[in-house]
Parts: sequence; C-alpha cells; structure tokens
Amino acid sequence: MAYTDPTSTRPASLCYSCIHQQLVPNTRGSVFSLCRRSRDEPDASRAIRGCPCCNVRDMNAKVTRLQTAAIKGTRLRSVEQVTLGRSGAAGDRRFFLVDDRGRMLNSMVLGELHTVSAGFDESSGRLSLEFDDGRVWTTSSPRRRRGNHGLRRVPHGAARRRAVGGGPVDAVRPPAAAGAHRVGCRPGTKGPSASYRAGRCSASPSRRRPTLWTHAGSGC
Amino acid sequence: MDSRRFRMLIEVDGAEPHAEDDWVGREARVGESLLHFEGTSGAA
Repeated sequence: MAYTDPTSTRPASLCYSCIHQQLVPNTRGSVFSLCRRSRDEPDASRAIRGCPCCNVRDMNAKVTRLQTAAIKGTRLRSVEQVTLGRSGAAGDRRFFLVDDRGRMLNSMVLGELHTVSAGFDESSGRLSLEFDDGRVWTTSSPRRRRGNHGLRRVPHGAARRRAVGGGPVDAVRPPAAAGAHRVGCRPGTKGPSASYRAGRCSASPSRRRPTLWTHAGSGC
Repeated sequence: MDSRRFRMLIEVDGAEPHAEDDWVGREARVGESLLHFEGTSGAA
C-alpha cells in the first residue's frame, strides 16, 4: 500500500517506500517528490532525499476490493471507489433498521439481512432494496412524497418478511434539514432516540413495524 | 472461508496472515487517504 516508483523497479530513494511521499508532475514531464508532512509540520523538508520517516515499512499489500452497504447488516456491494472521512466511508451504513422498541437491528440479530442488497442514490434520494428472489423495491421520489419523507412503505411480500424476521417494514427518511445526529439510534446507544420517542416517525412502536432510520451517514 | 464473511470495507491481498495485528498504531496510505490503525475490531 505504500508508494512504489512507477517508472523503475528500483526505488530511487528511501522515500519511495514512505507513505507520506507524493509525486508531483509538472507540465514538462518532470516529477518531483513532495513530503506530505511538510503541509502540517514546519520542520519537515519539502524536498526529501531521506529522513527517519522513511523507515516506515512497506506492507507490500494491495487493495483488492471495496465494499459498502447502504443499510447496516445488509449484503455488501462492491464499489469502484469510496470517499473516506473521519467517521468512515461516505454512504456506508447510511441507514439502519430498528425494531418496534427502537433498538437497532444488525446482522448479528437478524442474519436474514444478508439476503438483502440495498443501494441509495444520493442524487435522486432513492433507496432500493433487492431481495434474493429477484424482487426489487425502489422508494418514490422525495419531491413527490414529501409527506412521507420521500420514502414510501415497502409493500408486503414473503421476501420482505424474510428480510425483517417476519415483520413488515416501513421505510422512512427524515427531512434533509434534520441533522443526522438527531435521528435514529446512534451506534452503541441503547433504546429509542428522542426523535423516535417524540413520534417524528411514520411508524409508531405500537404498530410493531421495524423502521428504517438514517444516521450520520458513515460507518458504524 | 469466504472473505465476505468478515464484511470488510477495504479488502487487501499480499499480506501475511494476521499481519493486521501488527498494524495497530501505524499508518498506511490507500489512494488519497492516509489511514491510522487504532485497534482491531475483534470480529475475526
């Protein structure tokens, strides 16, 4: 995973095995070696030929697969690229299911979630669920169904019941203005959130319907 | 064993078995991101 010299099989310097090295090409075809540490550390030299940092060991590993799941616990989907932030990969585990008591469901609790593949299109705001029998449900357009937060209820069916352990699913998405941290149960917390208790959800606990919530939008 | 069982966001190849145990506290560059390994999840 550390950088290697793309033009030679022999390292030009120790820095070619350093994770902080960045090669900067110019318009004339020259390539310069920049130490990324110089951006944050004034004492670090910009042009580097060797430093203690270069003792970083090359793990000699390469990335072979990237996988994300729009809904926590569902089947992973391979993706070509991910955008990483401090809280994880963008879009990964953006949603999760809660049961009628507001508790988060995951694959440990509900193994059948592995049979569901979920995807979320950021541009259209549509969430799609694909079940192992080939059925696909896609949420309605947010603009047309504002009253239901843009996502419609998942219709009844055997595949759906398998997916949530026998109970129906209501898929809802909070308004975009609602901060993600204000809705749903944050990972690691117990019990329903304040939003859930306040009834800001189309499926009340008394209806005993697992509900789809959104959270911070990153891995959990 | 199918690697998908471990539900990895980033899957790598070329490392020795259990090499990740020695990655804690270290950094690795993946694409444009610099990752810092804070610990193991215990899932394996």
